[in-house]
Amino acid sequence: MSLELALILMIALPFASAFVAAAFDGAPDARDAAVGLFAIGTFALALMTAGEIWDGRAPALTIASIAPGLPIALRAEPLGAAFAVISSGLWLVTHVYSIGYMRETEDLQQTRFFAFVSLAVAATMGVALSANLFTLFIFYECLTFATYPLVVHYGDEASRRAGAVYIGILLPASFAGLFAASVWTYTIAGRTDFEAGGLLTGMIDANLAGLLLVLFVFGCAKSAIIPMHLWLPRAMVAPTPVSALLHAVCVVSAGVFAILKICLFILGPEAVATAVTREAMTWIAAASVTIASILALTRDDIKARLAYSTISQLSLVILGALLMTPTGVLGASLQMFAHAMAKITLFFAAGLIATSTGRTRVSEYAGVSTEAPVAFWCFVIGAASLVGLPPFAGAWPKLMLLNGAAEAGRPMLAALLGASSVLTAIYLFEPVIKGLRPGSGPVASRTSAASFGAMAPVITALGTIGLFVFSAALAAFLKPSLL
Amino acid sequence: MNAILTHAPALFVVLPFVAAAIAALCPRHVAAWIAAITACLVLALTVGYEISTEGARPLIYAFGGFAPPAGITFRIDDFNIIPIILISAIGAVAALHTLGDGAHEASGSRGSLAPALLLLEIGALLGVASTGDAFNLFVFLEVASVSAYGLVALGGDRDKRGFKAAFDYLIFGALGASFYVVGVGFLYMSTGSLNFADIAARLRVAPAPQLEAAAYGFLFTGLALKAAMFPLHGWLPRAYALAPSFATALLAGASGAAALLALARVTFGVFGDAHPMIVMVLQTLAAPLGAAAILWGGLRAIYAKDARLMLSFSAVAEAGFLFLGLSLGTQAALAAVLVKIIADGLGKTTLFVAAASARRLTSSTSVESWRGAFARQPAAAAALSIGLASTLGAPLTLGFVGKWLLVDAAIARGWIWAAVIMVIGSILPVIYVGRSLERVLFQPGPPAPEGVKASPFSIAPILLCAAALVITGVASAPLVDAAGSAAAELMAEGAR
Repeated sequence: MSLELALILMIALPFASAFVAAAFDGAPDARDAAVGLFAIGTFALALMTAGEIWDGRAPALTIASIAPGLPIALRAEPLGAAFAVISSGLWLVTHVYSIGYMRETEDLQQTRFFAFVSLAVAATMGVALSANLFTLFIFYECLTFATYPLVVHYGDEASRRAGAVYIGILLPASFAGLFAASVWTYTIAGRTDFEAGGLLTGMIDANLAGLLLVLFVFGCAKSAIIPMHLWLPRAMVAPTPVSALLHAVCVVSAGVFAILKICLFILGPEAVATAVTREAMTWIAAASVTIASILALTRDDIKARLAYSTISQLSLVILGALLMTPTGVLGASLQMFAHAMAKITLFFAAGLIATSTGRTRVSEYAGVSTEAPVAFWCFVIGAASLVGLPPFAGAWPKLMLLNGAAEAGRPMLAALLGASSVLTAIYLFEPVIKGLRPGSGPVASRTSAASFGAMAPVITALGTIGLFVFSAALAAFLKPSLL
Repeated sequence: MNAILTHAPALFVVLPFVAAAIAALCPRHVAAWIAAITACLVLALTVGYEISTEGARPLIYAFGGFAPPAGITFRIDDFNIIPIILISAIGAVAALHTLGDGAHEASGSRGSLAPALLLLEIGALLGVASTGDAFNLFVFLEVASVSAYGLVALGGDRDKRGFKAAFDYLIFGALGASFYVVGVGFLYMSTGSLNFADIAARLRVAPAPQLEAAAYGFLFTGLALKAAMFPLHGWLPRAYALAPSFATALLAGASGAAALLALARVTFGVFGDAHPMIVMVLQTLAAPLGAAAILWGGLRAIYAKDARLMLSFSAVAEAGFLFLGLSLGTQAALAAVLVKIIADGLGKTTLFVAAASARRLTSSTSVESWRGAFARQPAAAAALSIGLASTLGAPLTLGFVGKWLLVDAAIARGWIWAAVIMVIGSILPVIYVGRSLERVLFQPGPPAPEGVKASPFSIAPILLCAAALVITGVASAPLVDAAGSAAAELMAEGAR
């Protein structure tokens, strides 16, 4: 199979999967199996493409042309390919989990759910493989539209309000920020291609670089950096698999991925370093890390706590991108993948605990370790990884980000990173410690601890260990993309 | 065949006019068929003409063989051929709609009047877009306006306020026409000619700054009124909301576009972008008023409860985009305006026809009545959704391309404030388009009444329009190229 075909198929397969899911509306087993096959196919293609890149090839493909210098084009480079591998792989695991979750909760709109998840993954693959800013913007917006029906899945008043906030923040921010800055980039450079060293390097002064930096970072509101984060906690009204998808597979990851990619390949290290707003943005990202951690501490609902944790952990990626030192950027990239793996484990585990024991609040967690041991220990692994403990995926990136801050001569930031790890430990180990205590019996008994979906967190928990072990390989793979 | 193509420019106008006269004398049903068939023929003719004259433009068609400047000419060039096709396509959609879901909106004794007026309007708008003569343009503008008053007044049968809307429209329209004709008078005084190309040439040889300034001031005001520039847009929302849907589909899609096109031709093709009066009017009038229209129209659309009123205010905002775009005065901006005209035209026609089809099943005109539209009539709702997405400027629609090019042109010109306004103007629709889309796609609604189905005569054409919006939004390079060369040609014409 030609490499170009693989590129387009990575988007086309999940896209087609949505329609196949709709076609099998009346036959749930066939539908779920078919979507699973599509997910396997997408994952295999992503792995294959990554392998080709490892061998030094760089497949590229132009789909259509809008205007001179504005093609809709795909190109696989290490960072994007790694993102595609992680996202498609996690889609597969999420699918396994969702099959169990949706049937257990006797969901009425299962087909719609699976169809829009597929569309969201297709858009995410597009974001990962975009060859230029223009294409990235298009897929970024498609992702917003594809995930909206998932956020309002239950169709009740709370869901609709969450959906309105979701669209009401993401779309205006993307128009005012990402769109405006993308057009500006096009006006200056005559094209919007992602280029090693930065497309705009040497074309903009410190003031314009500063303005574009602000527009890009806040424009990618999917990254949920404070104060653009308001949509994220509200979107928690959606079913647990949707939360897993929003936090780890598609939305927030895509937001920080876009920022990372723009900083590296559009603005470039030089412009980021000289931008007048760099200092302010760095502190906003740092504040975002800290404030979200503190807010997480105050939340009793486990899903809300995890939501604020995502804001905190992914603002670290933005922080790393703004440091623009080799170690910092590598740490930021690894943090993105490590967070995806750990956070999805936490959501799966929390969801299983909720469905099997009925416990959704940290204050109710006593006894969880005996009532749902598998899910509980997966939760522990996910938590340990997010805190940055070895031998789990989160350890390396935390260390590298610390190093990166030191490398950039920013001891204050390094101290703040350390403090944020401590905060993470506090807000994530609180439920763990509670869970180890003997409980007073299940809050609401539901029979399902050994369901089909219970495998999912085990797989991703093993994934966090795998990412830890293969971090060096991943770093070597990403190296050509980074500084 | 060859003879038809040679005389095609005349047929653009003559065919609908003659058919209009015949239709007016026929029974309602026959008249509607005549209108539909004629409009489709005109569309075929314009497309055929574009293909057969590829590379041979500009072409001057002298009526009766009388040579310009004395004789009346049509001038078909790269600049107006795209809008000519757009107008005839919108005309065909509107005429087919009178056979479909629009049929019941003009009944009784006035049944055959509607198709006749529609044909007159189509012919006159094509005349506005094609003519190379200043006074002839006035004539076509008036024919278009008079038929438009009639079309809007037809809405008075269903809702008495329609008569008042038509009357308001008449007052504003008459004002616009008077301003325009006074401008033509000044132009004639200063150059002694009525032919655009001839005027342009004479202006260079013997400039008369004061007369020219007066002429342009009047011409601009007159055409701006016809194109509903803020704050002269007062007639538009109610006229569009209360007219029968086939009339609104044509007027909202094509009539503003034709007036704006005429303004662009007078501005850049006759006076030229370097003329001091042009620079002054564009920068001190068109730019701030266009910006105000973007904000005002967008805000009013948010607060409109009636779906047609919402779309009408959205049209006011879109006219603002076009005026702000024109005021940039660069070639890139003119090309962007051309693309935006096509996107707005196709989008508004699709939306008004789709809204009418949706209305037949609920007999209400509020945005709320769109609830559950997707479950009731997926085809109409799909067209409605794509039209709304293009209005929002969502990627993969032509509306997005137009918006991108306009903002690019504003930044390239150094008018960051204009880019900011345009971006704000593209955020406002998030609210009203988002609300509408949520109702169409996600909210449950009442089931369709027994036995009522959307007509294919309404649905098939707007599905084609929606498909065109998407296709040109994905692979728009040919269209953007054509708009670029069209703008280049017009600017070159004025610079000579």
